Amino acid sequence: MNFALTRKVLHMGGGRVLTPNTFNVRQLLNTFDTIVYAADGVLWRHEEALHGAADTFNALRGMGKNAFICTNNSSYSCRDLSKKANKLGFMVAENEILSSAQALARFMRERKFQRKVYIVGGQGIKDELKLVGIDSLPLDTASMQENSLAEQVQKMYFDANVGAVAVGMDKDLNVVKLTKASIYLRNSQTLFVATNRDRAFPVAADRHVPGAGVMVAAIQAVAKRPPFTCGKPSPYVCSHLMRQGVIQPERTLMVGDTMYTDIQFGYNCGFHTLLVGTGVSSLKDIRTAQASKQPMIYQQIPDLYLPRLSDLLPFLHSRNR
Amino acid sequence: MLRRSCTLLAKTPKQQVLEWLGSIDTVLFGSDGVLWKFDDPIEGSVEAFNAMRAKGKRCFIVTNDASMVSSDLAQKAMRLGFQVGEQEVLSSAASISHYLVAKKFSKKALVVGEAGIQKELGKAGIQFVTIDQDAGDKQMKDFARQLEVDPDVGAVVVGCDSSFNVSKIVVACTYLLNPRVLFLGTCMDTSYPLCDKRVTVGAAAMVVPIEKSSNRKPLIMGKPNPQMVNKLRLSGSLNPEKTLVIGDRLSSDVIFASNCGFKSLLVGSGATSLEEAQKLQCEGNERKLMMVPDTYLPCLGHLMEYLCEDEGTAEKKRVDKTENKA
Repeated sequence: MNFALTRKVLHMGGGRVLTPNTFNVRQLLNTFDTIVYAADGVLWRHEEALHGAADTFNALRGMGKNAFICTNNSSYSCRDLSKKANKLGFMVAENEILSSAQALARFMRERKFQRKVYIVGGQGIKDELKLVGIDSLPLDTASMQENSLAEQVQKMYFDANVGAVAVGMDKDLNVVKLTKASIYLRNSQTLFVATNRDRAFPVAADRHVPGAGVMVAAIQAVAKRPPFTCGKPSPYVCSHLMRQGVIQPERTLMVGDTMYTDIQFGYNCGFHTLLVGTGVSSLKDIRTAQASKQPMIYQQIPDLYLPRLSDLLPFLHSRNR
Repeated sequence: MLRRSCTLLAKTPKQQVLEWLGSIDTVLFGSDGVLWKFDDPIEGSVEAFNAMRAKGKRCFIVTNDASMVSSDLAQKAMRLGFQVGEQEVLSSAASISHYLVAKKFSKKALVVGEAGIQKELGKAGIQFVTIDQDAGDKQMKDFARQLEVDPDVGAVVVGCDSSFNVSKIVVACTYLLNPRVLFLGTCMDTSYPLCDKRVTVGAAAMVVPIEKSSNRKPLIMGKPNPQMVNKLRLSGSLNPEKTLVIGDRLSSDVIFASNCGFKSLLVGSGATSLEEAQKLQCEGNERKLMMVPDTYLPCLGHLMEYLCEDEGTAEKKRVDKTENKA
């Protein structure tokens, strides 16, 4: 599959399968200065790096491409994420990690938020908020103590200084925290922010774990209003870099594994998009989307598809390999 | 009284209201926010309910509350002073078990909910299991991978559950990955007002995350699903023009009345305020018009002035109420 020598190298949103060879990989790389990678499912899976991903990542850097890792995972702060990345062999600095928790903290700071935050989520959100000087209540470990929900709610303590509810992935979500969050949100002045809306991640065939989107949906159903979502696919997570000119959308490639998060994010930012098959979405999902009658689904169809990121590696020339 | 007009009965000429009430022969009462609030009766509800009976109208309690089996709900009502029999209490849990029986469901049901659903299913002879696995300190991914699926489970039934947590979501969704497993919910009621700004959550807080995580739509058997009154309709004795639904929630009670062609009366003693109902009326959104009630009263007790035999007592009651309101 050759690319024609035109300025517009890629057919946008075409879902073309890339069969890499030296020529087309070089053509492809000439089109980008920056590559934004999703983390889970592209570079690593939970605690293990994907085979060949670190080498590919580093080789692409070595060719002069800027790199950013953009993740919706809010369990860790950017500092911890960069430590994890370095441990797995990825050459990346802390300020090249973009996380949804960091975006949430930035959003709150930009609004000059002065009060306290009630968090339904992981330590990552707490750490990022602290970095921008925003105070939050200690992570809630409440559980049902009374015989009935009504009694439990009567006895709940509410901090009058709470001005926002921040929601991320929370494996300890229970009815008590859900109820507390909804009651804080009864006051229309209270901000409602979420890290992301990811639905579920496959961990094995026929086994999924719920993502932050599930926790947000539960609270949204009771509070009857939607949150501002700071992570992918909202462009907010890297809009500050675009405004500063650090990322130029037309010269940026988004490499992701989830169509409704990463590819949609790429579309929203004006990036080119590459879907890899090592995570949530598959080539079959692309074809289903292409055949779908849903009006907006074209935004989730990537420009290119590769089974693995490391498929590029044999065709990359770099002294850092 | 015009349909979907949100007519304030208090501002309507008494003769008109008496005529309207006279045309009703069956009344379906909601429970929370209409008759009682958690464990306390709402002031005036007991008298009004019993007076309706005394006037010869058939009275039923049609409720989304699935925390107790119908016989226990009836007992609670009687304990609070309402004259009602077990046959006259229709709950969303009963609606689910009738549905499964009608479908000749012969497998097991996985219940995410309280004792009410479990006992109703048991009464109907349907085997059920509850979720006793919990991730504890394990990572969710390990918990999910180690889950064993019981092949006999043919349905997941979700209602309000005070011990709901993420582990339950994972288990329920794992079963729902099989498209042949049914997904049933009691209702989509979001919250019940407690005191000042506090609320307790309703079944929506359990159904929605499972719906989102499994990417499957549930079949909601409680209000506004007309199947709540299936037995009544099948008996042939129900005339929609002469049936009144009295409720406190637009999304369940009023839409239920719309779906069945019944008349509706919204009371302001529960989840919905008059302002909310009137706002919907003004919006003029076609789809939301189904949620505008025919009539409105601040609470059930206000019906007493139309149900009293004695004119003098009725006049006195009306004066008392307006004085209290002022």
